[in-house]
Amino acid sequence: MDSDEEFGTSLSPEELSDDAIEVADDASTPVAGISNRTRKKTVKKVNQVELMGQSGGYSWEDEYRRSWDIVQEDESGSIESIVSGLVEAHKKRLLKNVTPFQRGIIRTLVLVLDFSKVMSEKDLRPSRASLMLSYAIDFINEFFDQNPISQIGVVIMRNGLAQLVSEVSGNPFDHIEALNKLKRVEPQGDPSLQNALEMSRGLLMNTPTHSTREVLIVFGALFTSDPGDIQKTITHLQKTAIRVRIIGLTAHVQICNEICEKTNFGDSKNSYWVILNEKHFKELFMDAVIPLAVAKSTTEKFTLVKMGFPSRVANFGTPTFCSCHSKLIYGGYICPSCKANICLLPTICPCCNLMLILSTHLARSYHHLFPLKLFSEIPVSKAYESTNCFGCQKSFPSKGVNSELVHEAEKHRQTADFITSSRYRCEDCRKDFCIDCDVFVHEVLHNCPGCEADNLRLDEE
Amino acid sequence: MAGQAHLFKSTVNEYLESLSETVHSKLYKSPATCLAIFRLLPSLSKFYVMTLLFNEDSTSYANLNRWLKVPPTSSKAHPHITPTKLYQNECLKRLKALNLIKDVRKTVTHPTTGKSTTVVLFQLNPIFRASFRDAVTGGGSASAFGDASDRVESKRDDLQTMFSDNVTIDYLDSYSLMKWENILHFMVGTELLSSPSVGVLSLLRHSGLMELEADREAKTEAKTESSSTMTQYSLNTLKNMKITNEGFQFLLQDINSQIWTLLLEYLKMSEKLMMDPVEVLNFIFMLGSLELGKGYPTAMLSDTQIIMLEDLVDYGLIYYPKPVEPESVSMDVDEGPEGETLEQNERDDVVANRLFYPTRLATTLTSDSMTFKSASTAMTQATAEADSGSGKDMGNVILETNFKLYCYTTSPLQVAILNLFVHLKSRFSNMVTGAITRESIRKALTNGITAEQIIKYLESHAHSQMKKLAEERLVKKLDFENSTNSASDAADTVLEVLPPTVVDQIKLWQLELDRIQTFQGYLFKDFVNDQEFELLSTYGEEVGILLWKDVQSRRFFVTQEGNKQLIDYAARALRRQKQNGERAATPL
Amino acid sequence: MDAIADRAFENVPSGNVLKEQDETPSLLTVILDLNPLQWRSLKADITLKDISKSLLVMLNSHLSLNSSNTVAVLSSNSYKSGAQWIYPKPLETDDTETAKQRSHAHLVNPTMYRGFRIINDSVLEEISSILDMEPDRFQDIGKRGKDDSKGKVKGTLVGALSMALTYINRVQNTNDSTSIKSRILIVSTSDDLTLPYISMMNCTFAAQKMKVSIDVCKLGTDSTFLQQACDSTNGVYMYINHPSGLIQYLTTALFIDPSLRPIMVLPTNTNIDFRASCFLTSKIIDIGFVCSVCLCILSIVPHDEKCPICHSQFDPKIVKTLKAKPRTLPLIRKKRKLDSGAGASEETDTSRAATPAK
Repeated sequence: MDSDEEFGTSLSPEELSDDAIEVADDASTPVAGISNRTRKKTVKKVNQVELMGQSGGYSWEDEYRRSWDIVQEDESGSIESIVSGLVEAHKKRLLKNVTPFQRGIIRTLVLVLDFSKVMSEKDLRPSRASLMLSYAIDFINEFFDQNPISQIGVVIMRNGLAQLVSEVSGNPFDHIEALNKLKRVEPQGDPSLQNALEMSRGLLMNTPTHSTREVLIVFGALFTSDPGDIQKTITHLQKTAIRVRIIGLTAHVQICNEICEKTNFGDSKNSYWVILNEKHFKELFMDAVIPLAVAKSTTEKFTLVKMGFPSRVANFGTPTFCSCHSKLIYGGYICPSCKANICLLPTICPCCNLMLILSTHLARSYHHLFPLKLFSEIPVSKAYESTNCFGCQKSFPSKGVNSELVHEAEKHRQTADFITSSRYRCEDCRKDFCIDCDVFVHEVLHNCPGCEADNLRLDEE
Repeated sequence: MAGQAHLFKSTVNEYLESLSETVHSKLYKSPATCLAIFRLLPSLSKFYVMTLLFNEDSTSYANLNRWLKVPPTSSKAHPHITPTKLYQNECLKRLKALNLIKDVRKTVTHPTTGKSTTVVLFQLNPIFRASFRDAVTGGGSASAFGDASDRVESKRDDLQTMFSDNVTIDYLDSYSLMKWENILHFMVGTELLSSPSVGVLSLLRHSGLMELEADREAKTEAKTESSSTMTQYSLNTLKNMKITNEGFQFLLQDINSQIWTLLLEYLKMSEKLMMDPVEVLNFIFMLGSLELGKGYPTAMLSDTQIIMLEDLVDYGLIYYPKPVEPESVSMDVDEGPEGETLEQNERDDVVANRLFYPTRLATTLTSDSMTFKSASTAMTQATAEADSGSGKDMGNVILETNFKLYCYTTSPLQVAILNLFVHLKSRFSNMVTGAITRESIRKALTNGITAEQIIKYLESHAHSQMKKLAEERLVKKLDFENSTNSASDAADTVLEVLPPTVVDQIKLWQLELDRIQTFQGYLFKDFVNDQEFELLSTYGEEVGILLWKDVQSRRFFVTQEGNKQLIDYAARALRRQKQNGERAATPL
Repeated sequence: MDAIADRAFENVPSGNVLKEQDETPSLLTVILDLNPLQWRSLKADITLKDISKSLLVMLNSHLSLNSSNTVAVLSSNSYKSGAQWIYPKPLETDDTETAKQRSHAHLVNPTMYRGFRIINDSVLEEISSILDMEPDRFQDIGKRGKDDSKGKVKGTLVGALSMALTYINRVQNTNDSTSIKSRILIVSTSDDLTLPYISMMNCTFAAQKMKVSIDVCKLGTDSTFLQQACDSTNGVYMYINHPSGLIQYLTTALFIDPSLRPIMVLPTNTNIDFRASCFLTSKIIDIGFVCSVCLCILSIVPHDEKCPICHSQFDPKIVKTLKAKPRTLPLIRKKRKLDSGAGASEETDTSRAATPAK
């Protein structure tokens, strides 16, 4: 809590509001309205490519395409195949490209939540603040599910101050409890990015070198009221190798873009987003669960960490004191080097300072490191080799598609996208899967059933 | 989903439990019946039966208790009364009532002291065990397990080849549904081209689902007489029957419970007609284990069962194609079996060569309501579509928090049923919209439909999307509770398919009507001391018969059924206390 | 007024919550380890025939619990095709197979309840057809991989498990209105060495996420990985001491329906070995080195001081400390006041250092 005072209490309310204007002016070109600025920027930089329509012009210059135009009957007069194609196309979007990166698996992240007055706006239901909190809880659950040996701290921006809500720790329950308590807190005052960043920097200062240092900000306001020069803070952040990512709730703000750009080695595209709707908000939040790729510029030496994998003993017969919390427990985990009794993992053995972890914790992160190759879609043809999905045994639509229809469909470009073979093939084992399995295998399972079921391929891992 | 299933389950179970032990023993000789009865048990009872199935020895009750988790926090006044415990007691009670487990008393001598004490152990009913083992093992693959049962399907394959297989599942589905909906339509009062047969109509009357003007008058005069004297009416008279309160309630149940309701009535009626309940039950349960779309020879049936067969055809449970011989006419059960015996003999050889086809209504008898849906989804794509077309339009009601209701249906029957308690506004080609209002609910309530039934109906017919959302919400809630380690209250973890506001409001509307609830039961008072009161009241609570208690004035109230049980327990407990007291007194 | 309202709203006694569960159907997926060599080594205790018998009884029992219950059976570790479906078979092969089946003498007693018989028949049929192929395939494999003349092939339990999970995923998604609960039973005879660690763990986490319990019926040698899988999915791990009484195991301890899990004491061993296996040597270790980039577990510091998996170059300073005198851990920078304990921990550290050096 002392950091709170450091950045916050020295300021009087009057100062705050003055600063707000100054900083905003600093960061941007003169008095141009914020919305104006954002619009210009979007057109110029960010979405230029995405906005291009098929004819090469902007998408709004394209002819309007009615959704029912793409639905066409096949020779038997049924629209079943095209409908299932549409469904598949929708599911396909779920699959993200996976290229193996070096990722920072051991992470320390400070989650900064905007709790200023703007957050009580009701443009997100039920209100920005409560939606943000419920997503934040989901985020924390998911984060620890996927990054079990990482740590999180939570900070809010409220009344021009940064307040520490929950200390940096690896225990999701503490954070969630703290966030639940926040539900009763009214958003108030102005946000201050600088204060929040400084506090985050303080929190991340003494994290070990092998851990990443990240800040994730959810920012609802269009301004920040800072006590000092935020540029200095940014340079400090750069020095301490802290990477900041921001999710904006309203519009692009130049200062946010700048923070992200500078702390992410010039790459603000993948670190600063503005939400489109509630669903997008959630997606952006969940994207932050995936560990960041290790940046090329920080090619410091990597370390080996010595870790112990304790075994669990159910019951010693009598309750014993654990060496970490001095609580009476039945059973527990036994440190392999000093035989101390530990009640909760992961932790650092209080006796011998060995990092203790369950191998299952480590294993949870492996799929980030060894991602499964994407399956390739089998081109539409008259006959197929496979009749059933290798995984779930669902039978594929057996009808080979009439070549005429394909030809016909190619004229309307979009329709062609929806005529599918419904077969997706793993390039390694040459087994075919249905779209549901494809999505499931890549999103949840991270194993290819075909490759694993083949007993001849010994070159695993 | 579950609510509706309980309704019929409890009635079937009640009936089964009411049978005597000798009837039970006879019933358990048929593996098909064993299987069906087994399926009607609660999960934990099933588990207990399974653990005992391959265990020849008798076991002690303590062993069963050890399977169950003891709740970690026992903060309440009565730590031993937990939902789990109640559930277990319920399960054991059921097993005992069905004579599935038997108590065995054994004298055990203590190894050190040499004192002999009697221990109450229990074991599985040996007849049940043998038949059920046969059912599960098939007797063949492991010859050690008894002989093959005289199962009905044995000749099926050969006969299948003899008869042309022109009866498709689709046909059976539409046939049975046509028959059944016909009955329901008749009850709702839709104009029909052909009304159900006399047999069906008199059953409807007998069961009190519908009544004639004359019945109503008779009922007001003397209740007992009307039910006992079943005067025969002609088809035309019966056609003028009016639906009763029970009939309305009946309509709201799902199809499976409806069939069971009728079958139970049929059972009661058949007893009066001197049919053997064992045979009737065996036949019903056997139907449940038959396979859809296959023909079965009537030769394997007993005379009683052939009579039943004809009746079940009327309900759409069985498809029984008319034979080539013109002389065998379908007969009415009301005429009684005595007059039939002569004709029966003549027809025996004809009958022996005929096949009957169980319909989906019959094959899903012994399973819960969901099977109807899941069975159809399990079919291959082609048949699944046909199924959904053939009218299994369950799960199509959307209810919003603002009391508006949308129902995707084309069935006039469902519209008619909804009309019982919904204020319908507009009708489209594939859906109707309406709203639940105070008036519409009151109308239903005065018709004798309860709020509980309306809610159950809506719940079981809720759109799959509603169920999905509700499940998601529940999972989230559970996750959250688990993550925060807050003690989850049992009531909070129920799946809420319908918006709780609407559910509560419907209940409140009912409360407006009946503000007093009555229970038949016994009041216990004037206890000598707190301890005695505590002992008996906790016991009552544990076995689930306690309705009310007041600790201050040391009084409590138990249900009528539970009274005897409690008194027995009290007698035992007090005797024990006395003995203890005497023993304690002697050394002094 | 309050009292009256209360009465109407809690009309159900508290036990009813559990009754709801009586209705939920469940899917039982059995994965049977068919490796002939493993079965041979167990010959004295139990044969594959015995276990198939018991398994069929168990499948039937499961089906008899609720008529909406379903089963699925997969084989794994066979020489014929690694992991494959036994029941339900893909539809396409069904047509040819049924004809064959008809002609086949009934493998199980024809008087059995049809629902059981169809399944039992096709399961037995399939198993025997796999076993027929085994010797040929075994020789095939022996010829192809000369270095693997011992007949050591990759274990395919994970493959079977993955297939089972995709199937469960489908079943759970298609029957959206009926929430079917699923569990997996693995009858395993092979040891841990045949299990690819990462894939196994991926399966475990997927199962955990889907709330599918993995039960294990272990014959032969104990398995650490399967224990871990059971533990994290709330499953039952059973090491079978007396294989002759297998049926009793299968119908009691391994027969707990998912709906009953919340209230039952699972008869599982809670002493779980959470040790991990080294990525390089596949040795099971309790203290090891973890690469900070890719988290691969190593029992030794590699010679080239590069991570064998992600090829990150390790900091030579740290490697040196690890190699030479690993008494201070690079991870912990916090100074702890452990004056009394320091000497003792130093000792243990040096003794430990001996193992990686080898």
